[in-house]
This record gives sequence, structure tokens and C-alpha cells, in this order.
Amino acid sequence: MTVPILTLTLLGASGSGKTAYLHGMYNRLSMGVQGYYLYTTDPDLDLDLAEDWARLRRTGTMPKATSERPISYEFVFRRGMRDLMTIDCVDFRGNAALDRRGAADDVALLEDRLMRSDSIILALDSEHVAEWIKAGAPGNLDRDDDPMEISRFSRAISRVFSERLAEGDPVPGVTVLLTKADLLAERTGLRAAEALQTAGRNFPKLVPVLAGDDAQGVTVALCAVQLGNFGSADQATVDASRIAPKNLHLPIIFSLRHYLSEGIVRNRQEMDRLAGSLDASRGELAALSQGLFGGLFRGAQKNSARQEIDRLLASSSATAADLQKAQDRCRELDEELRGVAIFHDGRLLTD
Amino acid sequence: MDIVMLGHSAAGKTSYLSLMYAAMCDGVEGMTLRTADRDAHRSLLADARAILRGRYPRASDRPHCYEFVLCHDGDEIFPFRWTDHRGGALTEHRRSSPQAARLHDDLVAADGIVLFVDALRLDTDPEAAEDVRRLVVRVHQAVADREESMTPLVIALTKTDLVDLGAPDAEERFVGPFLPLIEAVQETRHIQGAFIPLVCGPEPEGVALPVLWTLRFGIIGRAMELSASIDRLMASARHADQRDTLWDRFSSWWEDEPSWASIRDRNRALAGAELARLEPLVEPADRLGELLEDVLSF
Repeated sequence: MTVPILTLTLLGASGSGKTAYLHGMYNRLSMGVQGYYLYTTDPDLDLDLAEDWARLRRTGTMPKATSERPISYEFVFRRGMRDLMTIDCVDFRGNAALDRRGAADDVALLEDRLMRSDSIILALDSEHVAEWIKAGAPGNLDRDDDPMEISRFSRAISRVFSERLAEGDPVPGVTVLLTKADLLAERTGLRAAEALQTAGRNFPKLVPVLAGDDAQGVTVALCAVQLGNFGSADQATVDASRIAPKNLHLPIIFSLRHYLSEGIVRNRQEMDRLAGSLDASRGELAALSQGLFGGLFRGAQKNSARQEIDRLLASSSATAADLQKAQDRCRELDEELRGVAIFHDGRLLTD
Repeated sequence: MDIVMLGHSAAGKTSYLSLMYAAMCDGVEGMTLRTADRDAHRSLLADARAILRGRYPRASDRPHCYEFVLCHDGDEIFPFRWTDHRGGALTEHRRSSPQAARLHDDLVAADGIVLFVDALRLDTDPEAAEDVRRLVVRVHQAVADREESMTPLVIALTKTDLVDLGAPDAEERFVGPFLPLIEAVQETRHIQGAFIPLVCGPEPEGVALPVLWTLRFGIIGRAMELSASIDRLMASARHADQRDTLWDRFSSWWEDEPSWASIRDRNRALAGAELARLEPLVEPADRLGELLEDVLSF
């Protein structure tokens, strides 16, 4: 089974915590979490990320927000010493998805990238999600008054879904990341788990494009993550003694799970196609073998049909092996994702 | 065999190398080291003598590469190269530091890796967790694209005379930070890991073990390559033997091309030569196995 390359795109309003998440996620996973590892293929990038994390740990200075020059990362995601996938990830500034084309170079770059993404992470600041929960989790958020910019990101994501479905391609998996998750409890007055459950139950009202009636074929994970218990103080500088990362690896696990499950669907379709071709080739061979002398004078055609059957059998066997491996990996990943709210076709599967 | 020694500044790499060389010059159970480089020989032994008197050598300011040969009962059996990289290269960018670039290239090409970690720092400095993380990332980057060839990996815990290894939580404190790497290596067949506590001071302890562990699996890897080569050559010889006929010998002579008989004989001779290279490795590999029985391996 070849190692897949996953194109991952991070979306979220300015200040939603995309860049901080990326740094925290890398720091955690590059140390190893539950046997999973992430490392940069370029050692210099590892140093850059490590220096930013060290600054956060020593002085509480959060990583700088991304400028109009997006930052590309190539990660390898492993289980033990076995590569699971290469992740092609680009960190764009928050407004790159909100500005008009032509306003800055990164706007068009992000649009193009979104169209070919296998996985999208949409970061929502838990401070605003908590306010929404406190307000009774209403639907139809006011587009002009929503600091999370959900309707504008939804439009961008919806366009990707429409184009993919029109071309008969699977839509990207989406992780909705509730960043700064310590604020869920602090701002709602609920326990963190209760606040998250409330967000999950009402998720179709928060992001209808991902979990509403129109979300056919869409798989979404709702994942609360945090770098620490920093509260709602100034987010540029935090109390370094309160660093306490939680769940930072789960979005990547979900991205891989979704990618593999799409591959399983494709492999099953391929198995069906190969089985059909095999039946046809066997029928052709049987027809060539019929007749007065058992097709004695059609040796070349019969050899060709036999070769085709051998080729189809070999392909079928390789596809079945790939399918089995993907299913085994999915089972492993499901264990890790236990407790994460996952929606498919607009319905909540787990929580 | 190329062995790369990796560790942060002041982890004890340079002291280790001198003490290891001095110990191996004296020999361990018939195993000794030699180097043809007389300057390196003198300098390593002088540094070792100074350490035994309590004076430590200055840290490396550039990578040092040593060409050694492992000898068994006086016979040279296994040449290897040992590269000592400056600790600072681990925290420098490849784009601006040629030494950092070389460290990365050497690691990717390494046949064996020895990681050095300062036990005292691990025990007392919270920043040491980041040192471990960087070392582990380097190991992942190094073994990413390689074929599944035998790769020994040693985690050498230095300065263990300055910490309490007998404390109830010692395993958690000193092995714990490496546990994810250890578990990952345990799932592989081609990486052979060892965790070795060391003292590289006036009363050295365990200094021969990292090099012997690395060489043992280097020798086993080489023996496996030779054995596979012998099998391939003998299979080719058998194949050629089955095609050998009087007519083939005559027609091959006439056509001025190698006969199946000559191909068979050549492959048998090549297999014999490979066997002659393999045989001297068997006994040392077995003896090293006995010597290293008590090493904590993974």
C-alpha cells in the first residue's frame, strides 16, 4: 500500500488560533502520542516550529499570526516507524478566505488549494462558540455580526463540495476545530463536556452546510482542542505555566480516517469493476473453447484471454490486500477517535 | 559501516569517544579497535588519560570522522567509520549551517546511530524534553526512506554517576522520555535498539557497550547480505549447471561467448569468495552476542 499524500487546508477567522494549533499539534505529535508521530521532512522546519514553541514555553509569547505569505509544511504522519501519510499543509492568514480575489496573492492561492483539498480544518474560537451556546445556540447567525465568519467560510466550503460532487469526486473531510477549548467551560458556566455536547447537538444550526439537510456525502468531526488553560486574557502573550495541551492530535487522526474510508469506497468500486471484467473474460474464454474441436484453431485468442484473466486476478488480489489494510487501519483509528462527535450526511454518528 | 554519534552540546560525546577507544585498545574478550591514523590514536588516548585524571576535553567545534577497524583475536575483521558531530549542529538550520546540512546527510546515510543524552540534565532541566524530542525527530527523519536494512540504534544515557538510577521512579524519569521511540522501534524488525547507561568520567563504566552493540548488528547485517549473495550466486550456478551440455560448450566456444559451464564455475567461485568473507564474521558475532546479553535491548 503506497503512502498517500493528503492535502490539508486550514480555515478560520483571524485570531481563531489556526497557527497556534498547528504549532501545538506539531509539538505534541513530534514527541509521539499513543504511538503516532508527526515530523517535518525538512529539518529546518522542525527547528522553526521548535523555536516558536520554546518561546511560548519560556515567555508565553504565542506564535506570530501568518502574514500574506502562506507558510507551507510537509509532514509525515507515522504509526510507530510505519508511514501512514504525507501531509501537505499550508497555513494561510485568516482573511485569505474572506478577501476578494485580487486583494492579495494568497486569496487566489487559497481558493485553488481548497478545490483540491482532501481535508479541511475550520477553526472556530471557543470564546465565540461559548457565547453562541449562552445565547441558546440559535440558527441563522447574523452574517455581519458573526466574529467566526461562519457564513463566509461556509460559502467557500460549499463551493468545493458542489464542484467535487458535480465531477463525481468525494468531498473533503472537514474537522471543525473548537480552539481554546478551556473557554467553553469558563464562558458558558457549564462543564466542558456538557458545553461540547450542547455544541454537538446544535451543530447543524451552527454550521448548516456541514451538518444540515444538505450535507449529503459530507463527513465532519467536531473536535475541541486547547494548548493550555489560558482563559480569555490577551492571546498574544499567555501564562506559560498554564500550558496544558489537549486533543491536538485528533484532527490529524480524523483526516487520515476519512481519507482511508474514501479509499475503501474506491477500492470496493474497483473490486466490483474487476469482478465484472473477470466474468466477461471467463465468458469470452469459454466461448472460444466451444465448437467442434474445442476452439483448436483459436489458440492465440485463447492465450490472450487467459493472460487477461491472470492480469485481472492479480489486480483483484492486490486491491483486496489494499482494502484489507485500509480497513485494519480504520479500526485502529476508530479507537483513537472514540468520544469525538462525527457527523455523516448531516447526522450525528457518535459523540 | 558508518556510525553517527548524535547528542546535544555537553552530553559527553567527545569524552565517550576517547574513553571508548582507550578501553577498546586494551580489548574486551579478544575484541580490539585499531586506527591507521596515528594522530587520531595519540589524541584519543591522550584525552582518555586526561579524563581519567579528571580533565575533560573541549567540546568538538567541527565534525570529526574516525576510521576504525574491529579486530578479533588480532585479526582485522570489520572496518567502520565513526562520526562525532558538534552538538550545536542539532539546533542550527541547514540553510545557514554547512555542519547542520552534513549532520542531516550523514544521518540519512548512517548504518548505525548512537544518541547521547545527559542524565543529569534530563533529571533537572525541563528543557531537556525538547532535546529528546529533537533527537527522536532526527531518528525518524533518518530512517524514513531507507530500505529495511539492519540498523542498530543506541540510546546512551551519560553522566549516570550523577543521578540515582536505583530510585523507584528512575525508569519513568530516564527511560520514559524515550518510550514512544522505544515502542516504535520494537515494532520493527530491522532496527535493533539498546538503552545503555554510561559513566564517561575518571571511573568510566559501560563505555565499550555502545560501540560493541552497534558493531554486532553491523556485522550481522553484513553477514546477512553476504549470505543472501551466496544464495543468489549458488542458485545461478545451479541454473547454469542444468543448461550445461557438450553442445553448449562447443557452440559457446564457436560463438565466442561464455558457456553455461563457465558461468556455473564463475558463480561458484564468487560464492566461495563471499563465503570466505562471511566465515570470519560468524564467531565474533556470536561472541559479541554473549558479551551483550545483559544490555537492555528493544
